[in-house]
Amino acid sequence: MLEETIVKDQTGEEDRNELSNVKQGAEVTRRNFLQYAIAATSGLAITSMLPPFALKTWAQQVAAPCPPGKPLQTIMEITSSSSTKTLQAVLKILDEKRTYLAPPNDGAAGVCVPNTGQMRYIAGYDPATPGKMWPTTTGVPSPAPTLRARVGDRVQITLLNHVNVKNFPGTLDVAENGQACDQNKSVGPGGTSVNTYPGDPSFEKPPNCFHGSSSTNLHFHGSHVSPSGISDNVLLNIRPAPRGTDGKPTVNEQNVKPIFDQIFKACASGKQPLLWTDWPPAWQEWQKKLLIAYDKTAPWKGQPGTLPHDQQLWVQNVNEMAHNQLPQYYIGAFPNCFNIPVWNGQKTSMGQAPGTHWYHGHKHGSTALNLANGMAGALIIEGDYDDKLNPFITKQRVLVLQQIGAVLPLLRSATGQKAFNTDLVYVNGQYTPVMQMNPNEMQLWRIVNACHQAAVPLDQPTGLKWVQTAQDGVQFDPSNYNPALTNAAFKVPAQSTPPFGSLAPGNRIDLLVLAPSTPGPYKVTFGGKLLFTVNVAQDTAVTPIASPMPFPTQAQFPAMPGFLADISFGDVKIRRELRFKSTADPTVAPAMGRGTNAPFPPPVHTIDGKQFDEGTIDHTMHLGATEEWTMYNDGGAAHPFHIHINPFQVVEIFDPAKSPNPVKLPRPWVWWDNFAIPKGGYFKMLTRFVDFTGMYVLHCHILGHEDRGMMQLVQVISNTTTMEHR
Amino acid sequence: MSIFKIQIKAGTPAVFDPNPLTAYPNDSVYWSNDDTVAHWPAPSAANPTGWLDYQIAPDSESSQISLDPPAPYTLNYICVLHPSETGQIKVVPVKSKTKKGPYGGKTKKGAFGRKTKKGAFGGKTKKGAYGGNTKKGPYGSYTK
Repeated sequence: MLEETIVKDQTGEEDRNELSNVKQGAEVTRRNFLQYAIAATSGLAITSMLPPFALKTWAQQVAAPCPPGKPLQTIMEITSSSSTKTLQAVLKILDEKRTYLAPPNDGAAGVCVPNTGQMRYIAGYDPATPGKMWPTTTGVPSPAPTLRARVGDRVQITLLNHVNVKNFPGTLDVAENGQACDQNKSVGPGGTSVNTYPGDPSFEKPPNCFHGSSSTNLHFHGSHVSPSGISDNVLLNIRPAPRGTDGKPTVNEQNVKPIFDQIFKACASGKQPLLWTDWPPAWQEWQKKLLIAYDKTAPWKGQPGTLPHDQQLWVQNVNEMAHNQLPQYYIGAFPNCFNIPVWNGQKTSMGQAPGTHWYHGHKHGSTALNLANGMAGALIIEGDYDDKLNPFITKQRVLVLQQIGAVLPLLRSATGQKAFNTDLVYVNGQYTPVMQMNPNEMQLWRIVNACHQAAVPLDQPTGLKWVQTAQDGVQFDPSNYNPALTNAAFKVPAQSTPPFGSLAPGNRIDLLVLAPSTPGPYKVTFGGKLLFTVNVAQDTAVTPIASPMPFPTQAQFPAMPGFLADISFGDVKIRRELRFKSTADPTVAPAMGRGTNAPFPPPVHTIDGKQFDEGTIDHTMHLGATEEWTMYNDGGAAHPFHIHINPFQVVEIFDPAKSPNPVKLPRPWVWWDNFAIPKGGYFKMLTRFVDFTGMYVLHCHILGHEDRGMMQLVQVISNTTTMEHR
Repeated sequence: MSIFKIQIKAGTPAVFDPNPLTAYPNDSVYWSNDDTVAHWPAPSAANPTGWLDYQIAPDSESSQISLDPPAPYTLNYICVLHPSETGQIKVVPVKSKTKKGPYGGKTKKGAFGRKTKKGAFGGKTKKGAYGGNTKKGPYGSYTK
């Protein structure tokens, strides 16, 4: 009972931060951690209680063979209430010192080095059960809690930014400390240094550089909801809450609740704040006070005091109010809310595709680091898809893949950047974990590639049998689902081919997976590297399954929702071409991806020849428009193209590495919201801009590219008016 | 690629904590100023912007530096604004249990030690990764 009470009381990050200078290992559970904390605060002599690593202020790093995987953990789910049809969650951006495995500097395979660093993460709980908080372990990587709702439900999220800015190098918003971009100087023996980021003179131009990583917002990737107001609005910037004299955040779930309850109530009836004056007066007053206080105290070029006028956040908010836009800057908290749309049956509309979606921080300049720290989780939206498939499986598995690191490659030392692109891929916060399956058992795996830059092209399995059922949270048309194609290469274009395939960064795939009858370990690999192991062994607590569970037949597979029927070429009125390109410094050294001479400039990433321009809307589409877009890759990696709000159908691919000619894909086309553009080639897609007007973005989902400019602003506008002209 | 914080704690003189800081090549370091006055760590008073372009205002944090190889070496630094405040960063090599190189020594026995000789999951590998069944192919043509 005592422990229950303590856990309930410990929903804050404050304690974690305060104690995070104690070295923590994977074996330290939250419960143990709390026991240590209790002893510490009660004045007990705790030396004998602490694990060995906690007795050292500095633990020696040893490059050693990577440890064997531990049993795969299941991410806690926050689900919508079946009675209120509402998903309510409190999500807190916290930080703590975490230990994680990294590759050695020489990149040797199979060798791991424990690294440590302060990392931001998303903790969360259902307000109906505040004592049940995720993550349940401290000091190790973990994804955010899984959110699970159903088409038609309401989603109401209290987002709290409780990052302690003092635990991170200066990286705050518009030019705090006089530096628009994060800075790194590489120091060698003798103390001499080179500015390796953003270079001196700078090779980066704000806002297209890493910056402001303690501020955030939430993107609901795969959701078909409004990009405006408090829905899937990624143009927002939520700064960390200031701290009181007690060291605790002054904006918290208790004091925002009365205000957010009003906002959520209005949201439930379809009302979104679209102007500053739409906010409850108490929220307007509070936020104005916090923003002005920040503007008066934030350091500028090392001097505390008033920021220059053009760097002040409140000034920017006032400017947006004058233009009838919802101001972007908030401090401490934000109410995210939307209703998951049910299709109304009209051809001019879509519903939300039930499937495997996800959410993550999406503030420009900080998406890569936030995801490297682990700020991402699955968003499962259920519907008929689940109703039809659940009878064929024993359980659904949510697998969130993350590339974990405390420092982004471009901000490492010049030598450390040789480890570029090699940060290890974790599964549910664990490196090469072991999943248990019973012989003959069928499961549905929902796999989210939440890596900030790594593709995870799954290799054909041995022993296991799997069939893909969905891509990017949109189910296959039954004719694209074929249980006879078990383990075969996925049907074009849903194929898994290095370097990018159906699991480029940002992609999701669903697989029906059948365990073999023969017990034993079965590896799941990508590009030959171990992702995790399936240990097929009978759980004695359940009844053995005598024979392999059957895959559903095509006839048993869920029917395609009407709004996901193929788009017609005949409806296309507008065609657009977008050209993605990475331009390397002429002195670029391929192994490093950067120039060889100080300050070692990295490639510049552009769309249509330019970097993201915050003052320019690059594409304007009419609401309801059907368009055909061709996405070219003129150089660099296979940039994964992602556009928010509306999915698209890939209809043609030109990949010069695979075919001398473009390939027109057979119908019915697969739906995507993220597709890696073949190097030197292109892909063509059809899409419809339906249901929602507003401003949002498209970008490369290699997030270091996005943060540094490979992004465009788009706007959907209504083509109807109430004006009469008779 | 760890990242370490050095706190600047108020006092006369103010102190850097930890001091010395021990880190590894390619790790990163930054300073968090908990004092009520500004501080400015630098390799020498004559080179104030050697590591940080600006002083660290009270109650705020610095940008970061990263530590190049080869190790070992020691970096001595001072506070430009208070020269009696000094600190050290010791950069030491990462120890390796793979003595003969990434695949030498113990690694030759396999990433998981001796067991790999038998196969990562025990003796079954000699019969095939998943035991004798693999030769037959538990699912016929699917395993080919």
